[in-house]
Amino acid sequence: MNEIAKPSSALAPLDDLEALLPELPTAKERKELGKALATACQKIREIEGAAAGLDEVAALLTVCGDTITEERVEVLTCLDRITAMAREFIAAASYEELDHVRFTVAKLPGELKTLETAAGRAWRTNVRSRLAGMTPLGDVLARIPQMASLGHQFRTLGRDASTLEQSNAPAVQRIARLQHLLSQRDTLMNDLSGMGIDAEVVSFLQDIASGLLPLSRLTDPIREWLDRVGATDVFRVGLA
Amino acid sequence: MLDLPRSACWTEETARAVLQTEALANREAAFLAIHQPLRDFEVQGSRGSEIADLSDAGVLAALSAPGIRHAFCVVEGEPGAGKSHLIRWLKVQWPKSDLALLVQRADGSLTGTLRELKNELGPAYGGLFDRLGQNMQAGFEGRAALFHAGLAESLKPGFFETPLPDEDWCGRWDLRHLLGHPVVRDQWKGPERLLSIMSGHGGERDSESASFNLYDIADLARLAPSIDKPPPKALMFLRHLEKERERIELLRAEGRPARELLDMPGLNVPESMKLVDALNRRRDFAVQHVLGISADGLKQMFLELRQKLQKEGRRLVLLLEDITSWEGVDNQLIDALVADSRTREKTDENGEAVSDVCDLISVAGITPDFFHRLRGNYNDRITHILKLGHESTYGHFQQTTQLATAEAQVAFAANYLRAARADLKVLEDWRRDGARREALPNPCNDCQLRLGCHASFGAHDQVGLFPFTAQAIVKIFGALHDPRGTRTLQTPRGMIQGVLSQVLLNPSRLGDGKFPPPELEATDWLPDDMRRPSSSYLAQMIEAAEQDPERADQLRRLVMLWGNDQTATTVDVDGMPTFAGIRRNIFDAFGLSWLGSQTHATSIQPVENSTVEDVRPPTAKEEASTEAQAASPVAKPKATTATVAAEKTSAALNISSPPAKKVDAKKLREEISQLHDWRDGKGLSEPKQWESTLAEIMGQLSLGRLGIPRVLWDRLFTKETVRLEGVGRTDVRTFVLPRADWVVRGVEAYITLRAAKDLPPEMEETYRRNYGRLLRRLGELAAAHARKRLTAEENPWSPAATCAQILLARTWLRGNVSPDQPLPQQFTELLSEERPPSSNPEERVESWSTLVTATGGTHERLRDYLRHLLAMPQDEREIKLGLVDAGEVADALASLQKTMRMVPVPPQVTDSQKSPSRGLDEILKIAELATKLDDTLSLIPDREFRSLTNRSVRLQVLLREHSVAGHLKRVDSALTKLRGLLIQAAPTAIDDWAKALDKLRTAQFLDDRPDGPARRIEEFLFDECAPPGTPALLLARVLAAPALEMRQLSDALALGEKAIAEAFNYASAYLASTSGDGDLSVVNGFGRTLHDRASAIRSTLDGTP
Repeated sequence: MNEIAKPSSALAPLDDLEALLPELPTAKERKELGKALATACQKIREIEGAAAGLDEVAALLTVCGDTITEERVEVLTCLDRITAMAREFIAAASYEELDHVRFTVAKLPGELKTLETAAGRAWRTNVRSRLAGMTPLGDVLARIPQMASLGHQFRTLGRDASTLEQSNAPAVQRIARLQHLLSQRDTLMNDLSGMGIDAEVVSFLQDIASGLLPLSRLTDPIREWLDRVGATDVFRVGLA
Repeated sequence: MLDLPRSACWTEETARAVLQTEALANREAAFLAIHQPLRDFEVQGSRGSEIADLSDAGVLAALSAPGIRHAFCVVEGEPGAGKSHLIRWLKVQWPKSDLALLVQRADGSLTGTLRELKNELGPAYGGLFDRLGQNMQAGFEGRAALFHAGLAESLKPGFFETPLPDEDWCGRWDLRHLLGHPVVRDQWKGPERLLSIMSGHGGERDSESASFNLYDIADLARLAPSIDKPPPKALMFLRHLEKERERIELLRAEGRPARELLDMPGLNVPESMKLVDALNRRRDFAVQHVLGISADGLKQMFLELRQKLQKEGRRLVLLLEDITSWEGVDNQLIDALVADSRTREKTDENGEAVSDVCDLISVAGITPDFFHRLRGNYNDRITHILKLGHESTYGHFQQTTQLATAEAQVAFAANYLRAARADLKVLEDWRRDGARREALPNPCNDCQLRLGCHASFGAHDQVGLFPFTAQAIVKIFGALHDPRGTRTLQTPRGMIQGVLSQVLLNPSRLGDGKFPPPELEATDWLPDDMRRPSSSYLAQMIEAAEQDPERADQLRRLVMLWGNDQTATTVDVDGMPTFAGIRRNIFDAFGLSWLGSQTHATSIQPVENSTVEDVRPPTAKEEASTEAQAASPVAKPKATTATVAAEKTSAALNISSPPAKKVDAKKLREEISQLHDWRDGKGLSEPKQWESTLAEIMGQLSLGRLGIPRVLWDRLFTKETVRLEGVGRTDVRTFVLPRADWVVRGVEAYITLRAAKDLPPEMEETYRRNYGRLLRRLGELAAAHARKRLTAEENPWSPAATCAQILLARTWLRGNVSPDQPLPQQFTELLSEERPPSSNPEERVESWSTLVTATGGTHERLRDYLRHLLAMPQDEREIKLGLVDAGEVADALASLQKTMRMVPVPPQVTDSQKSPSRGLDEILKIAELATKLDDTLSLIPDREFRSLTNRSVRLQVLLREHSVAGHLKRVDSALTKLRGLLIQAAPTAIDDWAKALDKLRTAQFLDDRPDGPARRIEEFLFDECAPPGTPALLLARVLAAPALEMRQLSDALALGEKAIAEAFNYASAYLASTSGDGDLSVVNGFGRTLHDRASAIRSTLDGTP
């Protein structure tokens, strides 16, 4: 008589069931939202760089500081639109909402472009404003025999500033480069000061490098400095 | 006749000084006086051979020799064996050139020991103790709590830098949280017990070991019901402990010492043992910071002490009474004790080897138990081992060598008696004179009563044993036992405290006539059988001799403690009568009544206490009178054992008159004529009428005396089945009366007595005699016929016994009674109306329920039948005889209980064509059922056990190491969550599971009550007891198993498994079907990222002007 069942060691996959339970809510969403979710996700993944782009913009605008004035309204308007998009993405849960996401996502690059353009302009303005005058100053100094070397350095700095202004490098690199050039500028200016050139002379030299100046700017200290460095003949008096 | 002392020849003061066992100060004289040289103990150790003379003096000479630079001598002996005495004696005798420090046991604690040492060293070295850090402010309870907490934490895996070997095991059961559970912390007293021992035990330590034992674990397991919500793993561990606790408690109830359990073979408590090991392994760690004395501190202190003594050029001798109390810090401390100064030697500027510590000789008292543990670590460093005991032939304790023989015991006692009798000043003088043993004062030498005293009480080496005798000393000492079983009392201390002190400290008892004193029985060391008269005869003698209860008690003590257990009067060689080996003048000396014979000319045999009646066979005359008694209506049987056999074959001893029937004379004559014709071989003209007459006669037989139950009689002897020989058809069922004179005369007498009136007395007597004979012979034949019909003629088969077995087997299988219950209870149960089954037969193996079903249709009829078979006659004139009797049934039941086999049914009974029981339906049914039961019953316990075991194994697999409630909740949680997410996942299976779980919940499977079904199942799952060897006990075991609950749980878990499997399959498929990369969180998360970035830019702009 075989009335004694052998014990089985087979077990149902309780551990596995417990392990997959946490995955189910997402799967359930996938199932329920179907293609709309997949498309939305795909579109979003296609513009994964958007966040990085915004970070670039943010970085540039942080540096630009007070030089951003003209673009301010444009940027804020653009940000309002992007924020509205963001809210739509955050709230998206239904098929319809997700289906609409792809259209919204499609608008985002345009907004980013607008932001980047504005930020680029602000950047250039900023660089220009902080490093303007270096090339002319270098040109003037280059003509003065005793200042020729320093003049060349100012010229180089001016060229570098111009290059940075047009640069499309990542914001981090650009900002670092800007800091470097500003530091270089400060060094050269210190060198000028070390050669006994006071601020009035520097201002004169910078201004005259940009064009003609009224004779009244040729003050005694300036004349004395020009005499001292033998640069009197470098300048000519003309009628405006 | 020589006089005997009648009062004490010592004083309580001297006795107290002599018997004082602890303090040595100011009593050296008494100490030396009672000192008995130790001899013939065993010596071991790496340098044991240095002790050439196996005596205490030899030990002293060897250890104190000037050239000895190092020794670590262990004195091993049971508590009270004389370790301390020897060590103190060494202290007294040690040469004064050494600094010999005696560290007495004090209160048994380590701190007490250190205090002793500090006192011994004096102020010059006392400062060394100041750095030991004994500043622990916590009280005992606080320290116990710290100890407990430390133990609990140390059970955590990874706690120790170097992992302990059982870490995984401790982690597996989560023991850290179990021991740390609030209920365990509050209520488990194990750690407190250990700490109490290590803290001195209030001075009553007495070498008890401070280790966890199985009783501690049993105490822990007892708390299980109170431990609320333990961690799941710990809960399962508690289940194990609870199961094992039952086995431990049985041994505790027997009074077995805890330490004995640890080595007990076959004690199946593996988890408890592991826990004991785990706790003891961590004990040292946990206790060190609790005691407030660090081992390192102690070690350093000893080192500094030895360095200081080295500078003084002194040798240190440490005489340590008991180092068992150092458990917990012992290893490091003993390291300091055994450190050989030579190992620290360096060469000085003169090229000589110089050590920075002094030479050290240590002598330490230690119990065998502790010695075994110590030896494991220090065997190589123990130089000398003195073993004061040897393995005894029984029990767990060593027998003390010093008191191994009766002579040694008497000599030991005599030594104390001599010292107690001496004046303390005389002893002091003796000590000052050099304390030579041969000069030890013996007051007996000057006693005028010496001759009579020594003759009656005995003496050893000229020292009188009064008021003891040698027999009393040996007997009382030999009887001493510790009721707790924690130690042996056959030690010097046992002799002192259990024998000598009770007498010597109460000298007034002698003068007051109250000897032997009640103090002898004041302790619980004397077994109960020594406290009462050894026989009721002795009790009667004492009661007769002494009316006063107190004096009767004295007399009892004298006989029981001084006597030799014989209630006989004999004469001693000098003509002195003795009772129980106690001389008469001892009775007189104690003022007690003599119990022996007054004549005492010859030896008197003791009177047996039993009063068994003689059983003798009947005499020939008595046997001859049986027939005459048969004729007497008032004759009574002689119911002795010897006559029972005769009674069984003697029918109708008690005969009543035939019922009166009116018959005319002619009719009567015709009937008688017919009878005579029949006897002559002719037929009967009116057979029907004779059938009735015969039935009447058969009805007159006493069924009780024949041993034929009414229920059988009515079937066996009917009008149709009783025939006169040659009248009508006969077969196996027919009872035939032979053509014999006794039949004719008897039947004639019957019908005559029935019809006639006023017969002459002589005639009536004759008829009665013949009638009586007829009944007697008829009874014999009827009994034989019944046996034949019941097939008992050739085979000793009893339908009643088999019927009882069938009913008992059914009762077992229905669970109404268990085979391991007392037989009378089972007997009662099988005869009682059936109660509802409690064994759940339908949950058992198929053969089980088949048998229950097979007996289901007939049990009521069988029970009724059996009741009739066993019914005792109610008529006072009848006595019970044995064709079927209770004894036969009881034997059969006992046999069934023992073998689970039925009484064999003779094969011819079951042969439907030839069966002699043809027509007896009950008999045939009994035979049929018996055959069926016999084929299967004995196999059922094993089958069911294996089935339950398999079910148990399967359940354990299904539970996945969780408790029942824990697993049910786990499965339910998973399935409920799944259903919440995927309603369409395995809906039917989950519904089935939910319903099953509801049923279990209703049946309280999810409650953790101690008597709940879940707990019962868990206990069964962890039952590791081997199956009993007999089928009946195995059946009892399986009956006690929670078969129904296991089935319920098993069914529910099977549904759970099904639901899990189906749910998992569905959920897996669902996941697979949605395996795309769509993820709502991606969309929402991207939105949040955009929002955050935009906000950040806005903030930047807002910060700009």
